[in-house]
Amino acid sequence: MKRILIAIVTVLVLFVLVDFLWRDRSNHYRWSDIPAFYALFGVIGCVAIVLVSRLLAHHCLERDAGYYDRKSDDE
Amino acid sequence: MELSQHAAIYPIVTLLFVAVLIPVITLRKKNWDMPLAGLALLASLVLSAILVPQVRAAGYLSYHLGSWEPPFGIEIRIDFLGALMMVLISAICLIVIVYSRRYVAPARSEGEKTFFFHFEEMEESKRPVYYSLFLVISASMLGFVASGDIFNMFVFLELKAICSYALVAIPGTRLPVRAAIKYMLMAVPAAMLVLLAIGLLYSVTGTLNLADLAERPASSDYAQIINISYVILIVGFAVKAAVFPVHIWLPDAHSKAPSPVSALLSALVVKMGLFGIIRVSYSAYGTHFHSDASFVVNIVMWAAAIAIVYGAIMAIRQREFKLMMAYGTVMNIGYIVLGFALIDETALLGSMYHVMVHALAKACFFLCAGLIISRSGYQTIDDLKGASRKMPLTCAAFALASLAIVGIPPTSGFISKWYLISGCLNTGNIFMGAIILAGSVMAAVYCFRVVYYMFFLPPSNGLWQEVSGEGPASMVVPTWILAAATLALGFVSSWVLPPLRDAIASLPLGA
Amino acid sequence: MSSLPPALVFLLGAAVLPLLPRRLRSGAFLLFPLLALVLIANLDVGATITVPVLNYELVPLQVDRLSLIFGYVFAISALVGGIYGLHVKNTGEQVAALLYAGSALGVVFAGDLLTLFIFWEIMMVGSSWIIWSRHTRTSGQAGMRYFMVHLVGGLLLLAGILLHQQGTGSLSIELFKGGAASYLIIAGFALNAAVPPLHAWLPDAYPEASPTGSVFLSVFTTKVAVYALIRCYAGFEPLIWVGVAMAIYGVVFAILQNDIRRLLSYSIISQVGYMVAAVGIGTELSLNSASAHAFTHILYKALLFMGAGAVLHVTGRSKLTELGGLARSMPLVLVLYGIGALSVSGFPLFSGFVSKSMVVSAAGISNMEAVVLLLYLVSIGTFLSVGLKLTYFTWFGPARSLEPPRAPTGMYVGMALAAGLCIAIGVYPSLLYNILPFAVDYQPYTAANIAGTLQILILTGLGFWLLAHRLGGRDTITLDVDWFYRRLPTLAYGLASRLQIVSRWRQLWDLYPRMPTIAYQHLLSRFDRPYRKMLPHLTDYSRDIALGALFVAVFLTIVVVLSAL
Repeated sequence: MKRILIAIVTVLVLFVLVDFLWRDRSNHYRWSDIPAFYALFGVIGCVAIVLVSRLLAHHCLERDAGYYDRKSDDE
Repeated sequence: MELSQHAAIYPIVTLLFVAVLIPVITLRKKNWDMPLAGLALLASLVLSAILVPQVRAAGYLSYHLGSWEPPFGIEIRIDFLGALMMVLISAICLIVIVYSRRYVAPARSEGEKTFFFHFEEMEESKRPVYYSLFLVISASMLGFVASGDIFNMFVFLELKAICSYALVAIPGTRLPVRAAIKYMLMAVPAAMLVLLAIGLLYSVTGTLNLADLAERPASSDYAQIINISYVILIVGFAVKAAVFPVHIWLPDAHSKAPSPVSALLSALVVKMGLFGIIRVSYSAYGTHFHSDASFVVNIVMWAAAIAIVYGAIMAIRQREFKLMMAYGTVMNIGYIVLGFALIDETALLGSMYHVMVHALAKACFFLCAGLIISRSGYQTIDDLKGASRKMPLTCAAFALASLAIVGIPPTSGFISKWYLISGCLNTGNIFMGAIILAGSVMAAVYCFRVVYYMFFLPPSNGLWQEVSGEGPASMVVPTWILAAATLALGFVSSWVLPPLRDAIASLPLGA
Repeated sequence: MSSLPPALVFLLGAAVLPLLPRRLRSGAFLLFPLLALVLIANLDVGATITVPVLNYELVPLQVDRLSLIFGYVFAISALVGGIYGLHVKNTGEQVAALLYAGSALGVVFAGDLLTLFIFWEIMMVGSSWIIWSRHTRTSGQAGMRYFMVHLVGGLLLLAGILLHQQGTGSLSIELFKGGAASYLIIAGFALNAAVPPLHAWLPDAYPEASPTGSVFLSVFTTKVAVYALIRCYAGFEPLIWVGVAMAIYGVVFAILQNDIRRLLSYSIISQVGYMVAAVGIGTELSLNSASAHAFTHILYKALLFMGAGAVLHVTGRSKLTELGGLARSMPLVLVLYGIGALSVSGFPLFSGFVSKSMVVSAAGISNMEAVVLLLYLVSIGTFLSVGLKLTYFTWFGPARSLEPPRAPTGMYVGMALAAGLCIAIGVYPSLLYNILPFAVDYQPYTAANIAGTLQILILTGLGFWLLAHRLGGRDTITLDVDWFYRRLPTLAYGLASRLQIVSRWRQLWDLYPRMPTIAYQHLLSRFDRPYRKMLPHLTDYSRDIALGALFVAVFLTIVVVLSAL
């Protein structure tokens, strides 16, 4: 397990370096100069999506599986 | 040469002649009733079909009964609209009468379950009467659409009405007789209104001939009388046509009658009232119609819009499928009347096309209902769950006709919907267009609920187990001819529409 | 021969198939997509057929590069779906699938709005029929809801087309520019494209179809709508934000699902969001990217549905809470599904990458940086839900000691075919780029693009590893807009009946038609006794009739007297 993790992190660092060295000249975004931007974005985005969706589900969207089969109107 | 001069009257006379013949012949030859009636209708179908190209070439055919020249004599005047209606009427009557043979016949064997007329076999003695009435009602409808004379129209209308009371009541059991009486209670006063209006019209114009009326407007001194007579006439015809709010006889009469009779009534008989409205509005009242009648026509338009919504809601609420179909007729009458009331060529085209579409589809509906009732005895929509396992052909015919009623392309119902909505937009009645659209959603609710039950749900406890299967071919084939026709009419529309459009263009439509 | 509407082949097939011997039907099914594929390959750009119908000039065939690319992918996916469904013995479903695929092709090659609408409606009938063909109670109800929603959508479209024709007198398919007609038409299109809030029919109905049925469903309806949007609304700017919102909405809901096919259904909404946004941008590159993404999405989403369907077929289960540990018993399905999952997540060398990065670049080149970022966010969610959550809880995760039988060979072949195409397009993007509507000057495989994408995806994977416990193990559903027509009416009806509104209305409602009878009975009770004395020998009914006659006579007298006045 640990070995896999190390491998993944190594690859990741490699990609960050590649990204830093071979800039895309055609598409220049405001964030292009921030090093490892995409990696950061990945972490934050992932956590944000999971938390936001869980929050939504917990507070208003989630119902038990038989919700629509019930005839009565009690929530 | 001599014979072909009388071509216009042949389809009608043949039927009346055979209608008289049937009770006489069946005294000796019991089983000749249906073949004779069928042959007579086939003959009148052929004879009417021959008229169509002639009418198309000549514009209209005029025949003077007893060679009295109009406006003094009675004129039979067939224009393209009339000829098309004649073909439609004789074709549907023929199909329904072929279907009737086994429906009214006694069970052939002990094993064959037959539920006739709500579970009673028809008495042997009533059969010739049934066929005779059937032919007379067909003849009177042919006569009605071919009349060139407003009094003659009234005569045929009443002949038709009397036959239809009798046909509704023919099982002789409590519910049909009740329904027939209710029908009569409303329709007879309506007929009197029509007669009164005709009398008023005659008193100020001095003529009863439609063409003559159109050419010879009464002097403006009598404008008020003309208007009153128009209102009375419209009300009278509206009852016959079951336009909301005077439709209340229809659901009972059409659902309690034997299924072939229901098919005939829903498909054709109510359309006669509509045809009458259109005929007199454009021919008899042509000039007045456009100047003074807009108020009346507006009321009619709103009544039609309410009919669409009301009919649909009531159809959705029904538990018996024949009642559902009957309310469906109320709704579709709304479409047809709306098309007329918009006073627009396109809308009228859609309306006339819908007369055909609805005639075919609703006849198909009732024949399916008859098949199901005669095979199983079930009458409620819930009983239809799983029907397709035993009666797949019947259910498929119903599904096909449903597509036409909802107006899904490429079935014929789409074409009438298209023209009706175009007409609404042409005249700026966007709200009415929305009503038509909403109507087709609601039609989908009641039609496809049944289709869904038939095909995609299992039968509820123990139903359909004793049903042996599909009905006899002589009942299934006519049903399928109608179902296929609703689809085919969509594909041949490019042949039917242009002449129909010409025929409508020849009506004196608005300034 | 060469210019024949390809839809015709399928519609003919739908008519012929039930007439064939039962055991040949599944095999014969494949003939029609193959024939259509040959037909489409031989169509020349610019070929047109006109038929005068209904006083209009109908154009059932009009070929350009845009219709061709959709035509190819529809025919291919019908073929793949047919192979996948070789084991199916459900003629109704097969006929429905042919109708559905055929009418989708009909829309794509339609040269005027009326033809488009006709096929649009046949498509609705075919797809509802597919849903119903599973013959369960839930599929029946869902199919009915689907049908009604689409009927309404179709009518919006019809109203729009008629208004447009009223205003301009033409039925030609063109770029619409504002006005009531235009908004009605786009509402009709948007409903089929499952644009929120008009989307709830999709996750409601698609998971209820049979395994094969949902493969067909996933292909046509939404992508036909995307095609129509490209045709008629390219560069309509609100679509950009609508598309982005749709993409986000889709992934957020996808993450929460427990039913595997419902999860994939929400993922369709999210991916169609990319296409809608690209349509809104409206440059040549973006329209190319919308078409390309539709092409790749159809293939990988069909593949994903096939994988999920295979799981359902052999285990009879489709909930993540009831699945798990299938990697040992269904390794091949896992691999094939994995290819689809990597494609949808946009891994380099898989098909999603070459189309998705094209959409993002199209936004980038048009200087819409917010769109770019949000679409990156969506790709995180996509990988999280389709790529990780579904895969993990189905094939790994807690084992449920399932001993499923082997899936039918046809299923594997169908999936392999789709997977092969996904990889082929991923490795040789020019295969796809060469058939796009406009000339392509775009290279997805730049170092920066690969590196950026992989950074995001790897960290998403790590994130999932940390957060997996928050994502699984709930046997729940999520509420969506369909609540308004599935639940609200029941609630409202309950409230109304509690307040006795319903019964009051019903009394009024039912009274009216009974009025003549009531009046008549009133008369009857009044006159019946003397009548009985007068006519003792008559039966009930005859007396009724006699009384009716009396009533009529009285009425007539009144009328005559009135008219004499």
